[in-house]
Amino acid sequence: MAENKVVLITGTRKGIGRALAEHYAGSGYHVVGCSRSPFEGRLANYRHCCLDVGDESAVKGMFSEIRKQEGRLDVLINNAGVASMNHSLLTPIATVNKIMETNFTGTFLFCREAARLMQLHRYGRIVNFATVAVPLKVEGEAVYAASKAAVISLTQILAREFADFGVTVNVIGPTPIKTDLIRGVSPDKLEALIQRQAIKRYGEVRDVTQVIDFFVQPASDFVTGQVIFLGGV
Amino acid sequence: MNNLETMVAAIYRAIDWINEELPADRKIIKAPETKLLGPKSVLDSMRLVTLIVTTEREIQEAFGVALTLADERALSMKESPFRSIQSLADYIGTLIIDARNGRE
Repeated sequence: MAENKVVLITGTRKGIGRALAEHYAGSGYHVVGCSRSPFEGRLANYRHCCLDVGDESAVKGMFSEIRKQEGRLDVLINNAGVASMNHSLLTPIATVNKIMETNFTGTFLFCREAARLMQLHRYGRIVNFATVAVPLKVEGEAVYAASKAAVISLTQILAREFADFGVTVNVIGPTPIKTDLIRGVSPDKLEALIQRQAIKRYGEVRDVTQVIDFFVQPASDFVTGQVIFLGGV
Repeated sequence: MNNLETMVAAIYRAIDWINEELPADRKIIKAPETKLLGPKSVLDSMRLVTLIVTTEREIQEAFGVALTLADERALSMKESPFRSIQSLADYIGTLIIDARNGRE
């Protein structure tokens, strides 16, 4: 079913992004991934680009290459993200700008360029990443959660703007998953967060792929502008 | 084919692409004087967006230049470059010259 389909995933060097690249490459997709650093190791059906997702010129260049080499884009998964857990009174503006640039500007840029390419075939699936920190209003994550709240608003409006192009745009909001993103968060704080979920456990990569698989399948063409938070949040 | 003709041809290819999904009595006429904006325009707002995006792609393929047609400059002009196919082609010509002179 995925034969000749092209999926672009951001932030594939490690963590969830890497697992998603392996999942979709293993499912027969042509996978294009990107991150600031090179991809370590080899993966069949996978091609990597080194770039900063907030760098407009680099992003446009990568999409130009995808159009030349692949001729199409079926799925975009905007996984790349950074976090910085700190009280807002102690958060430097440089940190705020970096988080917004990667999490929001990067997501916007990739959505815009992807939709331009997807409209060629009047088909596309875009999945953006939020977090349960938005509905749970977690102290210490003001900027990170705000950047992801912006992603949710962006997604819900893009869903309407892209609908005529046959492109759906949805959001997954994961719970804490044991990756580098939460490395700096204390175990006590993570445990308290998990206790606020309906299902009280860490998320796993399979929980994420399950939801994304649903969003990106062709039969989900009537599902757009939706947010699914994991763990019953 | 000179540069202006090449630009008009790129816009016509974008129109061909949009016309594919329009009924016969609503197809966009490929003529320099065809209105793209205003009450006499045959394009709704979504199709104008599609025309701009598709024209950008066609221009990049024809001239190897990546242009942004609907930027602040275009939106702040006294007379919109999107009035007609002719005015759009003229505007694209200006942008290509600027881009090649490093003033993009």
